[in-house]
Amino acid sequence: MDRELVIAAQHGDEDAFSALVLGVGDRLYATAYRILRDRSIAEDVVQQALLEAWQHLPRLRNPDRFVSWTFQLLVRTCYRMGKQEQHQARLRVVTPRPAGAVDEIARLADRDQLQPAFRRLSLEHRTIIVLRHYLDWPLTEIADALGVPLGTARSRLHYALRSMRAALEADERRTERRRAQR
Amino acid sequence: MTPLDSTLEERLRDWLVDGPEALPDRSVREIMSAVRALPQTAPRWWDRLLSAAPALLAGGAVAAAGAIVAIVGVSMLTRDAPSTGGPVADLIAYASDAGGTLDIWTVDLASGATVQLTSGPESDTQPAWSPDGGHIAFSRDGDLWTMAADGSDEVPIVVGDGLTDGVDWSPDGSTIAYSLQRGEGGSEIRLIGADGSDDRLLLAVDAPFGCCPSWSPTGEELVIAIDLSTTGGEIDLYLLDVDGDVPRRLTALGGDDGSPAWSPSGDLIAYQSDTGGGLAIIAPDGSGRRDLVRVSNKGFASDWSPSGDRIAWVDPSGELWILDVADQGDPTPISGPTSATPNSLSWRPVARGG
Repeated sequence: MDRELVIAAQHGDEDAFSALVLGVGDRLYATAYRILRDRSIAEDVVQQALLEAWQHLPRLRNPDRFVSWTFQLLVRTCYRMGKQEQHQARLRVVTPRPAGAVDEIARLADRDQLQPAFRRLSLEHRTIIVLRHYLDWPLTEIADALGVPLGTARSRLHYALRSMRAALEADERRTERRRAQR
Repeated sequence: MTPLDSTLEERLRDWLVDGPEALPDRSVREIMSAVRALPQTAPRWWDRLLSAAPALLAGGAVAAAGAIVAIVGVSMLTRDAPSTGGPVADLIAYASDAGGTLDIWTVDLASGATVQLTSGPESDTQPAWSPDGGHIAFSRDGDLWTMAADGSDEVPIVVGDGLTDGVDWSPDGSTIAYSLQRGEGGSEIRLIGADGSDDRLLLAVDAPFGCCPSWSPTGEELVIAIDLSTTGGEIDLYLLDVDGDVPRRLTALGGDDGSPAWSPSGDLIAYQSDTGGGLAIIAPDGSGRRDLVRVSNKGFASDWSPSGDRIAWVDPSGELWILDVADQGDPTPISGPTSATPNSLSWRPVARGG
């Protein structure tokens, strides 16, 4: 990220901020989508986070922290807006699975297992999984973005994975029961 | 890490790759259109000062460990703690994002009234009252700050590249103990004068977790939570003399123990215990350990009331709870806070006037 652009945007340069948005927007959107699993809400969240970034940019002390700071704003906005939208998200229709090659079918089958289990996780657990396993952030950076101690970030990741595993196992048991009933 | 964890992590990585990668152009246009109508906030004096920190620090005070720097400006510090006398409300300071970003708030336990003390885009967490109740130390984006109890006179105390998390004020008010996360490879327990002077390293560990110092009432010892296991994964409580002697292990029951809080009388330490799945207490000599209450959250902190008869904590939904330690009845919810952060909590001492 260009430090000069950040400094210019801190002084009200809209073109500089536009360049920053183009630089960081895709990554923010991809992250928000993976946490919230909804394109429309992810767009809203990114817009809100970047508007907050613009508004408070003059108070950002270290221009080099611009990217991590925008991710902090994004995560908090995900929490706020995601909680409001959770009910609606549960009602969305699942797209039918297309036919394809064997590998693709296996991959999609895995997706079909992971997606419902992931959706049942809390926003906090989904967020830490995405930050760690999609963005590949170290735990220190995650702790910084979430505003929690490193130990809390570590234990939260541990419990998020444990919840995910429990959800997958529960789904598997349900599937087996259905098979047995046929 | 079990093989099952490893497999699950790999599956998650593969699955998370799927999905949109680009913010739609329409969104970018909408953002920029809104930006043109949205005024920016003005920088504050310390933002400007800290933006110039590298230049200021060229000949300044560099901490022994290297990267942490204490910025001390006598003219910046306002140490005339208000002393109003009269009755003092029972207040708890906590962190919450109820205002949009993580800030420090207080709640009056009698009325449930909440007051937002800090604002702005930074993450303000880990409040700790000074023993006279006149100031609060806190973590701002991983830096250590103090402010007056009414939220005025914010002062940066430690600014650096580590993350300050656990913060506690010494019983005589002269010193602040804090933990610093230096990355996944190390953490430190440090002491610094409340005016930002004399930052010193007390304990450095290679393990990724060393946290949450809490002073004994005598001011001679700290209880800390550290992961010293060679295999990683187990956090236990240790006692540490403030002269930096070798830490002495206090808990070793399996599972993580964390967020210790020393009672005002000094005879008990409250902490988060995996063993009992919640809040536990133990004497500083390791005797008398007992579970008090189950808490459905693994990252919560607790603090004692000034009289030592009650303990407060925040549950995952952001609700504050109080337990009478002697009665051990059901915990009482305090309805004031919303969206409180479970790991940030400090009960105001009553030394001041009341």
